[in-house]
Amino acid sequence: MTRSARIMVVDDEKIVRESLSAWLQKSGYDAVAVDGGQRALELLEREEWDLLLVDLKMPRVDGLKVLRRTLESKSDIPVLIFTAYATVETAVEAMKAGAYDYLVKPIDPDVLAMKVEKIVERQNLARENVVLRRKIDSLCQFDEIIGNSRPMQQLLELVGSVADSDATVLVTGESGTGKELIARAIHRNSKRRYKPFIAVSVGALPASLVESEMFGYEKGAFTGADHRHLGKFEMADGGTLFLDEIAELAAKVQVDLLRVLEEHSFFRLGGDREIGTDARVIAATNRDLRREVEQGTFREDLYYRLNVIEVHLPPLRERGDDVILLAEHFLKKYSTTSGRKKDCFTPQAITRLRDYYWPGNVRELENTIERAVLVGKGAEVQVQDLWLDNEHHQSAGQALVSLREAEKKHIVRVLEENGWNITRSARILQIDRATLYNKLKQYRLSRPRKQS
Amino acid sequence: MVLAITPVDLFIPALTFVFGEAHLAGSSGVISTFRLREEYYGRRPDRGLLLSRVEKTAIHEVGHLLGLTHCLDRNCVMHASNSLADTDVKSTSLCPHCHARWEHGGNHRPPG
Ligand SMILES: [Zn+2]
Ligand SMILES: [Zn+2]
Repeated sequence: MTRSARIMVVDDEKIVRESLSAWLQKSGYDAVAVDGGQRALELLEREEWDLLLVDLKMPRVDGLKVLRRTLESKSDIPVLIFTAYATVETAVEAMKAGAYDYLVKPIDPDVLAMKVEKIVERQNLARENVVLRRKIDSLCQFDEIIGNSRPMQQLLELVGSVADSDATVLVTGESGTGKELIARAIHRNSKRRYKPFIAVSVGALPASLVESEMFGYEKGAFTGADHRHLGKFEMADGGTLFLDEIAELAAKVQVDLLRVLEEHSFFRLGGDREIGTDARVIAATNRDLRREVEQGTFREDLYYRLNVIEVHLPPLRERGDDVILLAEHFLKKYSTTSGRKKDCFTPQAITRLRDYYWPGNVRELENTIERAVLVGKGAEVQVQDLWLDNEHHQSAGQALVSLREAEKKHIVRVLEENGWNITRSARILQIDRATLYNKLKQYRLSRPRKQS
Repeated sequence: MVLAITPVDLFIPALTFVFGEAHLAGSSGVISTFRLREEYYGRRPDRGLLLSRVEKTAIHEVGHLLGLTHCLDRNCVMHASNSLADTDVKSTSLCPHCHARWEHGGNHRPPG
């Protein structure tokens, strides 16, 4: 276990240093509020620190002085300067003097959290290189991906073999199949695993935001851009950038993305400095991208750039008994988190899980089990706790069966929905009652003794 | 333990905003619905989505009041929400790890 990082928050304003250190403590950091530069220098000598967060403008001993003294002590503690709007020029001076970075107040919490995380991660790596690497490596199995079925085993083999290359990967599959999980597995099994994995759901962002989210912007790039903002490409530098729902990407951004993939560099919005990036891109879509290309909504050149390696995730209904393995996994997970003791499924529930069509795939299964744990009574999950409608029964879905089998299943379905009332069922099937009786005999069908 | 809920935007001085604020193992907290509303992002109102965000934010802050720190599991309700996407990704429940921490009297990471 690594100890919590010690962070010194130096500001002459009480409310700022106290609220900020409390904010950091909630992320588990050992953050200490310090009331000025003088005191900061005293503590710097006496105690060990992992990171200094220092306000630039303070009476007597200011941030710049604290920074210089820290650098002189050769302790290589990173110093993150934060500054009010009016003193950006001094901040630039601070950067030249050797500050790790500077942030303009008020700071976007996402940016601050990311920066602190990045610094602490780097510190940990440097200090406990061996221990940490061993720990990360032990996490790098495919522990979150559950599946013994043939298609999944083939898929994991493919993931293992492509992980270490820098090639762009296109993950395809219906929604809910776990495309991000696969992208993470590729990342964690690659040599980039000690660097960040950044996920952007392109489809979830308004078109106008996609560009600034991906490439970042400079202060003043547009109205409201009152501070510099790092894009995901920059955050993912050295690591992996996961672009979900890539088919939704606006035409204009498709061009920009293609350029980054070709030249490994980009410009921030409103910026004139070209920024290099070494992020590996993994894209994902639940659409047929080839068709989007044919229809002209997705650029062909970008498609080929992204689709260097295609990893296709099979839908849950094609994964055989994986559905049961997964259901048991989620059952364990949710009975632990909810504190409700559930240890198994009734045989009827198992049959229903296996026969259901799962249009929403693993995500739907997870939601189904989570709900079943919450609503069900007793230690077993009953078929009615699953709340699965007959609509998406495999029989009504795409499972390919013989005509005979389909007829049999259809008859059972009509009978079940009509409480085994022969007259009503025959009318729906548009056959007479005698014919229906004959079919029942032919398929050896009879009303179950006890309806639960 | 008291959790207040307000429609106005909240922030702490150095940051642009917070969804909620509650000190670790404290006795009271506050959450804001301001940035949980779809309207804030120029989208159509969505009451269901709003309620689910309020629920997650409230449970999260209560978690802090019980002494729980942030969790790295993105699906765990104690995962830090520094953007709306964080809130939308997470669930309303504690991951097994946080659940265990909570049962053992909350508390931050073990020192040392
Ligand atoms: Zn929190
Ligand atoms: Zn957790």
